[in-house]
Amino acid sequence: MVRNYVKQKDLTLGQQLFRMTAVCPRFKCFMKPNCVTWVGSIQPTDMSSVYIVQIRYVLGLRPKVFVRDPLLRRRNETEKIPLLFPDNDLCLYQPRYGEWLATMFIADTIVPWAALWLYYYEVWHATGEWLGGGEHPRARKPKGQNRK
Amino acid sequence: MLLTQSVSYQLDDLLARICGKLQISATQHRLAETRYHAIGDWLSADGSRLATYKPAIYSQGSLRIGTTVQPLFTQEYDLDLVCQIQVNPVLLPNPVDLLNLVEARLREHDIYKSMIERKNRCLRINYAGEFHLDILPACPDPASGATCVVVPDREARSWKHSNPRGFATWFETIAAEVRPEFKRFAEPLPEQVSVEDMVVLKLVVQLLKRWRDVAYAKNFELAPISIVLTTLAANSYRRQESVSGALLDILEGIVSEIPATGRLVVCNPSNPKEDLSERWDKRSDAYVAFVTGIRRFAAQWRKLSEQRGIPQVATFLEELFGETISRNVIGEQAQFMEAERSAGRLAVAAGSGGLVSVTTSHSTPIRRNTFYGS
Repeated sequence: MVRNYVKQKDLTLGQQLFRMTAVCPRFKCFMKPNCVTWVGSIQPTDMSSVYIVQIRYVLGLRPKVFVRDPLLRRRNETEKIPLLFPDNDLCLYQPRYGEWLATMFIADTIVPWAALWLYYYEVWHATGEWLGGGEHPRARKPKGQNRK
Repeated sequence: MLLTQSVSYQLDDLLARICGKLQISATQHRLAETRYHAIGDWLSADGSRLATYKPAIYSQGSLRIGTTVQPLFTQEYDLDLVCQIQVNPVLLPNPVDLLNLVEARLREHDIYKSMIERKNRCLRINYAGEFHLDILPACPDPASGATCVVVPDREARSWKHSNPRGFATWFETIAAEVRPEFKRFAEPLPEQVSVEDMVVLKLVVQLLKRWRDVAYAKNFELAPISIVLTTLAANSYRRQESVSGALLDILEGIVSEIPATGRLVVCNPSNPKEDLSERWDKRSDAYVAFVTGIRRFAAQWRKLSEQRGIPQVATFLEELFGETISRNVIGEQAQFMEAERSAGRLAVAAGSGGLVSVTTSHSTPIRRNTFYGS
């Protein structure tokens, strides 16, 4: 990977915070040493509901996104929500493809991906189908055929 | 579809997709034309007992104005035609003779003879699995002039006034080729609808007819007829460019026209002698069902316009226009969104964090991601 040759530095919490304030001003931030939490709203499309989401980022770990309000619901009370981790944070990217790295701004990646996820979540409720694509741990494709 | 610039654009895209699915396809339309021209040739051919009256066949109703809607439980469209005979109606003391004359000529044809069905004012030719062509014999009405006609009515044993050509001209003048606003920003449509065919008032009429088919599915004899809905819609249309907005204004317009006493009278604007709603005189239960139904539709549409949440909007659409078609169009819209995402044409708006098209927001596309997890 390119990253091995041109080693970029991980972004600091300060850099993440600054970018978030610039790009997503509707998010409020709560700082602790080595950990930042943002809370703000996302409305994926104008026909969609407005969701209050919480993004939690501990330096060195993967950013986690939780939907706080309205709470995520199963479909028809029985069908399990697709692409959701057991602790209810959204499955937004495939780490093996380097889609998100600590060198990238959360505001430019995680936040838009959460909007996309919420859009497909609503469509899933309406149609019964997850139309946003994605991969499941057990359904990995053989090496070399991961991406087009 | 312009992504997410307003609720109405996104909803209008869904509504236009619904109409696209209900509309007769271009292929079927051409086939119907070929079929009815052949019928016209048979009626006017040398040796036909009608030949001296120069019968001419032309389309009327939804086929003429482009508001066809596939029936709920069958693939067969109802297509309406006029067979105009150049004879002064005073020379035909028994109007039903005209129906019999046309029927007799059709029965001389080896193929048509087995496909004919008698109706009150027309002769139906059934093309199984495709459509049925309702042929309405008519004579010019010298007393009313212009394109006005009189048509025989079997039950009433008399002439009834009509003006199918005048009605179409009147409707087209009001529809005025006003295109839906959201299409100005649009990507190519579902292929069955070409952009030129998309006229706001026509889409609204198709939606009203579809609502009627769904709402009165269990007691269809109470359902308001298409021409009444079409006339009421055109009467309340004010050149709105939003499909959902026009539908709301039209529903409220219709509701406000319902008189406190007596019944609503809907006349053919191009021939006031024709009361399009005369059936309500005999069937007061159908009139009551119409009033209740249209008031309910208006209330539902008002609620839907303020609704947020795709699943919530879907619930309304499913109830009003049918479950399968509504789910399908929401799925198609999502697939369009997904194609835009794969092509790197999606960005997010700074204000709402909502998804927008890169071309309209001048922002950087969303970085590629693969939802991954259990």
